[in-house]
Amino acid sequence: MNAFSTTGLSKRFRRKWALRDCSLAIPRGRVAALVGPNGAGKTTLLRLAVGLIRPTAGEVTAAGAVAFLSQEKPLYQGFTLAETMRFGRELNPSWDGDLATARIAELGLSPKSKIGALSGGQRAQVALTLVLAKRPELLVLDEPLSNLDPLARHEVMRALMAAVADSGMTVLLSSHVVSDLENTCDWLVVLNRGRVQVSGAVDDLVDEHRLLTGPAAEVDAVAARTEVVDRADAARQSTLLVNGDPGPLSPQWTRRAVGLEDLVLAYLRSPDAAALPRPTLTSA
Amino acid sequence: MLWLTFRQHRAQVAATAALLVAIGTALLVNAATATVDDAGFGVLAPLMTWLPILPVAVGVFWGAPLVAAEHERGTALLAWTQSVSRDRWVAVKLALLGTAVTAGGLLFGVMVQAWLDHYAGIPEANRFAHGYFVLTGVVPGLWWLFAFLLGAALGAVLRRTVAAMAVTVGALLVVMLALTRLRGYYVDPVLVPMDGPFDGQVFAGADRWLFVKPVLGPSAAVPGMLVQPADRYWRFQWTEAAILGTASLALAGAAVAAVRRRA
Repeated sequence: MNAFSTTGLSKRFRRKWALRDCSLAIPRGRVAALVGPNGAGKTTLLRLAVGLIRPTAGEVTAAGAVAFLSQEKPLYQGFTLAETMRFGRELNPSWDGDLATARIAELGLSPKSKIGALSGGQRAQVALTLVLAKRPELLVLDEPLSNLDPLARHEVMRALMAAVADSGMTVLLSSHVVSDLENTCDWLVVLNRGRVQVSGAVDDLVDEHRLLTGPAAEVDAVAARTEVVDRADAARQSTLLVNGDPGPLSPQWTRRAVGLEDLVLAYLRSPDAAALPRPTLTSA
Repeated sequence: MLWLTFRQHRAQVAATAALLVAIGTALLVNAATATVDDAGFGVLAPLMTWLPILPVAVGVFWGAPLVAAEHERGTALLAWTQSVSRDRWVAVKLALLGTAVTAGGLLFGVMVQAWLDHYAGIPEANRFAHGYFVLTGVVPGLWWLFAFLLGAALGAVLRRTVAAMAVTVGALLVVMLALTRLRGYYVDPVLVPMDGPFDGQVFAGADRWLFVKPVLGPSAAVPGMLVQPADRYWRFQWTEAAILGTASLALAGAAVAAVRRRA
């Protein structure tokens, strides 16, 4: 069962396509990372996901209630913390007041403190509280860690993961820093130049890809036997990042597992490569 | 939404309430202390000529920031991603705040009328004259509402508070001047002929007319004055209220459409 899916999703701003023919599905309960360079269309995809903007073509489907935290983590600066939580309660029937109160207490903040007087990290935590207490089934976060110091990044991520463990909700979060996501996300979507390049479970992607290093003389023969994502040729030695199994290799070759960050970089360097789920028949 | 609307706009509510109290107090004190003769009217009358521009303040401080400030501070992304739809968000805000400014304008009109009634003997204390026509009856309520919705619609379209404020001021002044010109012709004016030197006191109710324009010179078959008689006051009040009310509805529609637009 998918928590979130798009089919042929496209968005054009004036003459420029921000997103083209994007089809992807994220199963329920996953923590999905949406990565890609600046201008890849991440924010456009997320805003389409939560209905802030309308698609030019295609469809977005989200199962259940959706909460959204935008990159700027907007809050009303003049409100107190208590008023901010009241804002959440008044505008959301599914508001979980106990969760909000517990999180504010955990942060060690007084309900009377003004939002404008909080630090960037505290404000991010308050903004996160506001979306978590809505008890959404799908939580969409646009660059939740941007503009935060390393400690605050860690704490926001930890709070998010604790909430996921408690509620089993699906999370879709964007970032251009892959290392932030390495140990927290179990689904990866790579977006590049407005197109989806990769979408799949992190474990499967890591299993399916490998790094092969061997003599330059044999590299073409090996490359022909499998799908090459990225290739680096030196004078005597070549390195291939491949998707699939090339079969038996001569002893001069070494194979290594590939990390998430290398995988993402390899795809971003080769915009024509793709690792997408092949069409499968699903039982209804 | 009721709480949120009040919380976000309580400064405007408080400032407007304080202004109404101040104006009311000034009018009351003036009327109460000037019972011996009618000199008190002359004290306040010059200040009263400034009050027709009050709707400009309503448009600038109530209307323009309503949506524009949410865009400018990025909080539109917060306000419009809650369970309450953005249609409902804008509808509730326009309805609640529109009701509040209309009530404020009507209360203001009642206060000015009471003050004018105190000086019933003075020809200048004429509720049908342009300056007082927009300060009495139902018209001030509609002017305040119109100004609020004009500011709100401009703010929703321009998405910049200061720009919306500036355009609101300009647009309101144009509409005010235009309606002041047009007002004499809501109904065909009546020609009051002048036989010999004109003496205003000859005609019953002459000091409660809306003066339109003189008809003089060699081309005039019957020299005289085009006026709107005093008994047309309420007909004119409702005519202007209908004009402003219709425009207000259109502006509310434009504001809602601008908020709904998801480019």
